[in-house]
Amino acid sequence: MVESTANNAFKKSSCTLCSINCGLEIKTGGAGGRELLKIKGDKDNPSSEGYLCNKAGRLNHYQMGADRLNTPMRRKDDGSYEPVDWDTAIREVAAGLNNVKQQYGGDKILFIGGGGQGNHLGGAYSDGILKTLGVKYKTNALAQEKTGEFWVNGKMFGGGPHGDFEHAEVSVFIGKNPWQAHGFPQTRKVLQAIHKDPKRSMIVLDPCLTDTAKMAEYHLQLRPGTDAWCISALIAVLIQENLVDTHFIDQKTTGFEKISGHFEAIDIAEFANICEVDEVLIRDTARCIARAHSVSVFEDLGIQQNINSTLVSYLQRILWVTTGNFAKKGAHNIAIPFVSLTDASKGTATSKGKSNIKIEKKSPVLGSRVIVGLIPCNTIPDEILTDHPDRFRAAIIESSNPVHSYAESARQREAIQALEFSVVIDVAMTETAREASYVLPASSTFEKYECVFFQQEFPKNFFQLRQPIVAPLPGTLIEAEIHTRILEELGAVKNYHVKYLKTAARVGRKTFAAAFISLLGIKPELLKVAPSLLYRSLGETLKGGEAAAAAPFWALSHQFVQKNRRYAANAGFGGSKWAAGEKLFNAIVNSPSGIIFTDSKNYEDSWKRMRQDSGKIQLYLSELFPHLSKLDTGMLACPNEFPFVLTAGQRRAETANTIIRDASWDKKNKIASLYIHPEDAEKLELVKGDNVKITTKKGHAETYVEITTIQRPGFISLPNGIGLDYIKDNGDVDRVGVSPNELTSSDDRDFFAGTPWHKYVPARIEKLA
Amino acid sequence: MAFYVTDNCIKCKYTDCVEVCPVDCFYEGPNFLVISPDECIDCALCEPECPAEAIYSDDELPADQKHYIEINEELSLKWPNISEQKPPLENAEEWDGVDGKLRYLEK
Repeated sequence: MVESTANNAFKKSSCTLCSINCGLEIKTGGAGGRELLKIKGDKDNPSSEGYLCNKAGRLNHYQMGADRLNTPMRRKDDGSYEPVDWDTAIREVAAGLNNVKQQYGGDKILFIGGGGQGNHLGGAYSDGILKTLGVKYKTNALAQEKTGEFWVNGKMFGGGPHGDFEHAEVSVFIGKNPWQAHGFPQTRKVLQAIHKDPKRSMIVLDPCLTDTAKMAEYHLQLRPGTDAWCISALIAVLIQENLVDTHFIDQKTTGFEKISGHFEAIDIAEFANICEVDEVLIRDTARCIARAHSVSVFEDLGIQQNINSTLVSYLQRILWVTTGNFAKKGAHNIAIPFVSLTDASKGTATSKGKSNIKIEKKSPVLGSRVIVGLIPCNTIPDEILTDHPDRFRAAIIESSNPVHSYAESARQREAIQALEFSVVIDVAMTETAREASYVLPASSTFEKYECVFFQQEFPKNFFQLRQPIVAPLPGTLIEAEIHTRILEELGAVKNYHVKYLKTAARVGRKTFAAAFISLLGIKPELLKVAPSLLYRSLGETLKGGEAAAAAPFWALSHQFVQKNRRYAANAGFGGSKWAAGEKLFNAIVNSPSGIIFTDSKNYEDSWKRMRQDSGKIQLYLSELFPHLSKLDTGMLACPNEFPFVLTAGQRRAETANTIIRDASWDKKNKIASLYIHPEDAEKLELVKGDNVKITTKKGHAETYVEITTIQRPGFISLPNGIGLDYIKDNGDVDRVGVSPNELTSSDDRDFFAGTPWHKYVPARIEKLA
Repeated sequence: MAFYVTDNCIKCKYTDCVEVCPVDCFYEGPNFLVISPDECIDCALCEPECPAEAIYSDDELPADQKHYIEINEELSLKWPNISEQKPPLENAEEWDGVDGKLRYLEK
């Protein structure tokens, strides 16, 4: 068991603030032995190699949050909450969900969640509940960021290519500030290496003079919202000046002849004018991309949460495909993940072949596009606050906080309130938990076995099963236990099946494998709850039961080596299928710093990762291409009463994500300021620290200003991840800064993927006395 | 975007900072440490570790310590790298807090 007393030894773990999950070494102790006293980089972590950024050092503010829960809570008629014991909570939650299923059908239950950064293991177990109840619709934060990009990747490549910034001659960042928001391992080190190397260069498309833009050779400081025009102009230069890689286009792509005419006809000067970027700079940037031996491009929230976001995802890929930057070192490659994000998201990761449940492609009320199994976060209120017979009646919300984190908090709150039944599984009494029928307290991410999830690197890929470093907070349970208990209550996991498997597990792995396979052969419906069966049976034999939650990785390890024998063998997991699977699983369980589980060695293998019938990259997408000739500058117009464009959620040195609810983590107290350009400040007669009122069509907020040339004139920014209602030890509620979604609108979303326009919110500012 | 070691490190050299640096950007002289501003990634982990409170970010460097920017730049190119903590200099506690130690800096 994990020591709960002060312990001088550093224990291996990882950061859970972004998708990179840098390896950490943490010394615990302090109050009840539960604090993360000292945090440093783990040099044994094969991915981060000791690297970390300023944010990881503050994780104790998450671990020791005053609003962490230590008992299940049940909502009373007057809206207040009463503690209930776990048995009662599990029984009543299972009954509540089952009632909705019986009355309306399981497809009227919406699942919101799937874990936070590096806190994904619960997703393996909740999947069993969704399949048992017949839940069809899900959403999570990916559906307010990445779904447009995923759709484009799927159509063009049948896979998700990712840039190789460590080796790229030219790195392009579109609406992305990796210095603060990372996105690839050892980000700041990589950026500095690019910056220092005269043979390499960086291109940044961003209205802000970000930390990354300051290091870039080419900064296209475009007018907010004009990325589609800017990238169209870059492609137009490539085509009009014959700079494209014709050999690559001929051999490796289809559809170029259908798209080239459009770009031939673009008036580059006119587009440059719309973007407010010098035409010469656009031409030079395109030539730099064309000249380079390797180019990698990273798009992020600056465009994904902006107007035309899916079109921009499409355009930026045309830019690097037509210059031949796929399947080679320094360019874009398709990684081999341990668990496919798409399969996990769709609920097919633990299934043999296709899922039994067919995921509908359109949402039930609005008919919104469902991408990787997710409906857009923005549409949640419209899918609930209606008389439509197919509206959602209940929700399971896990490690997600839609009331704070999704567009237009007021409507999201109203939607959760309108549900007939809801359960939140989380570590803290979040803004969403305060609206739920039941709240089930989970152990923190440092109190249990957990894993990283986003594995995009190539040719080597990394996986870490994180070990607990402190004991669970009394009164909490790990997600594996919560979901398995609900499944037992629903009758989907039966004690006699568990007993049978336990007996086999005690004999040995081979006996267990035979028993497990034969049981699934007789009762194939048990595949739905396989993770919970593994947890209850095989789990008991893993480190004396302490690592039980890792049991599903046993099946996934065998599945992985069978599908990827050569690549697993390259990483040291060779031999017979059985031996390789066992070796991989044992390495996962016994490597606290993580392992390299796959090595493709050959960049050309990216072609094999593509799931396209033609084996070629599709340049013409019939759903999107017609929209490229209809880009509408009318979308850029702000009404007179809102002369500014506001970014509602800028990544800064002082911001992380909302797992840290205690704003005092920002020791310098710089967190809450509105950034404004000096010219705008002068017009409004503002000086540093002045208080202002920010008004949008949906709400208003007050904060103080920081005057900075990071902003463009006319463009203002508020930080992300703050404005939480943090309940302190004494019960007082502390809110620091502006909650961005008090200002955003759920109606403002991408026409295609439904992703929000958080980076394009028309606003006005008034000076307060 | 970097941190700098300033006057109060001289003749103390506690080296607690070295232990937490994720990119090993500290360089060691006889009685002083410096940060390579070219290699520093602005992570801020070293700042609270220094018992002598001698490390500052560029935007918070006290006015009377600005000359240490150049000293860090110059000496980080000359001195050997240090990546592991070692005992502080003898009498470190006595020298901690003494003003104007630049004249004792051994290059």
